[in-house]
Amino acid sequence: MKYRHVLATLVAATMATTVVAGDTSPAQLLKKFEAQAGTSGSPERGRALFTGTHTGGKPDTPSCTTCHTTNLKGRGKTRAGKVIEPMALSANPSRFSDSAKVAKWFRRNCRTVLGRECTPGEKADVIAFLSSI
Amino acid sequence: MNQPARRSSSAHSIAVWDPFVRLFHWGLVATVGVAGLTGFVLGPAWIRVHIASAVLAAVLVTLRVIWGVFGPTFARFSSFVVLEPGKLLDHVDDLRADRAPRYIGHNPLGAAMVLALLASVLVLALTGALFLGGVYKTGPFLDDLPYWAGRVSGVFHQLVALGLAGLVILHIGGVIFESRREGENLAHAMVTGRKTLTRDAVVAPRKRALILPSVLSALFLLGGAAYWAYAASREAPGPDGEGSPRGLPVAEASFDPAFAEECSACHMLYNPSLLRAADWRKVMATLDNHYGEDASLDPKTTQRITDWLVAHAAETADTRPAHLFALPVGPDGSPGMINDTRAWRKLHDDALESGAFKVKSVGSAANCQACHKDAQSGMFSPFSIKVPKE
Repeated sequence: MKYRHVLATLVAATMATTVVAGDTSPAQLLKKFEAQAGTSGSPERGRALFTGTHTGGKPDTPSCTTCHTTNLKGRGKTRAGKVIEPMALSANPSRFSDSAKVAKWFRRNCRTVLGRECTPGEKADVIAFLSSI
Repeated sequence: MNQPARRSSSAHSIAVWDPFVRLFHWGLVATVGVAGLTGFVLGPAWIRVHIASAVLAAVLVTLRVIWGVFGPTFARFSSFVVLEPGKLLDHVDDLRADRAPRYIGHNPLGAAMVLALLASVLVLALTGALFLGGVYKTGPFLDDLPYWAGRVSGVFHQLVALGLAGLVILHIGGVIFESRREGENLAHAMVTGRKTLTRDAVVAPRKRALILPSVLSALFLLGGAAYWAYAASREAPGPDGEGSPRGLPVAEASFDPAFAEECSACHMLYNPSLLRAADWRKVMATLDNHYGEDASLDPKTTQRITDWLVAHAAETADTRPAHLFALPVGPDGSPGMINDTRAWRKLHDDALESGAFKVKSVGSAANCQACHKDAQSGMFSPFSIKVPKE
């Protein structure tokens, strides 16, 4: 009974992922944000933003690397102890493939670290950076 | 006062304590000793050993009660002089006047002690099981026993346990006193089973042990108790989705998919039974500053998850965490910091001191399931604790 339930959940989850995920790609998103910003994404600026220490956000999270760590090909950890899959596209090809998720996490995490939402230019920089490593 | 004159000439030894009585006595010493050590000193981590020794002690006492009805002369309750009215006080008077006779079986004070010890062990087993049922929703009394009844049983259990510890000290004192008075090592007699028969000693009328009724009663009582305990302790029926009639938290398999998906992105899934409805509303209304992070969701998802949490909040559960931690919003208005509550700190005293929360795989006090393997169920059973070493 229990196993059947777990199996059904897994099947449903897989189906849900296949429907939602894959509605976009890192290249598509990069293009979109570059168009909005009117500049091209820079891996160097992305690295500076991602690994830099900021002061505008919540005190416990001064940098993206607070949770994602500086080893972006490895796993990170939330402050509550949950594993975060690698951010580098080379280590985790499924990054930036779901536009709703990308929007949600950019919104939340930019507010948490910077205290404001990221500009399209900054988003393009971050995607360019994470695609380059 | 020693009376060696009595022993010298005509003294010869007779069998008093039969093998079962001796086995029972030292078995009870061992099991009650282990239960006392684990209960008073070693604490919750030893709960399995505590329960195992307690069950063995209760089985031993049950067998002793049967033997008290059907056993041989000195094992029988009917030979316990204390059961005759007035004899206990007469015996105390006689002791004070130094004219008390020597009893080959239990003297009236000793017999009263035996009955008190037997009763204490049975009461402890019962109150312990009631505590586990009401407070932890486990064991044979998990059905329909409310939390408060479990708590009351727990307090009673502790009081009787202290009482039993006192009785054991009195018992040892009594044995030393009587050994010196009689000039015979009574503890040694409980090993060999033999005591010296003196001419003036009080000896109970001889009775044969009735083996068949003893065995049949033992099978009936212990078999019945084992079957009942097994049947009553079976796991709860499958997840019902809605608040269970027995006050169990909503099962993991019935978690709302949106709740499971969104909340588990950052942290373990805290069972809705851990906070009151008002606190869940407050938590969900302040997601843009969620314990120091922005965890905002779209309004539709926020509403859906809020409704589900409220429907399964602490008010619907009768578990220990639901009662201990589901506290009203704190004075600073920050809701749901379970590890800020005094109850939480008290329970995690040792873990805080030993640095268990700094262990790599634990990381933070928010990561309950690093040690509580059943954390997401909201049960936090003492049987599901496993503290990682690294």
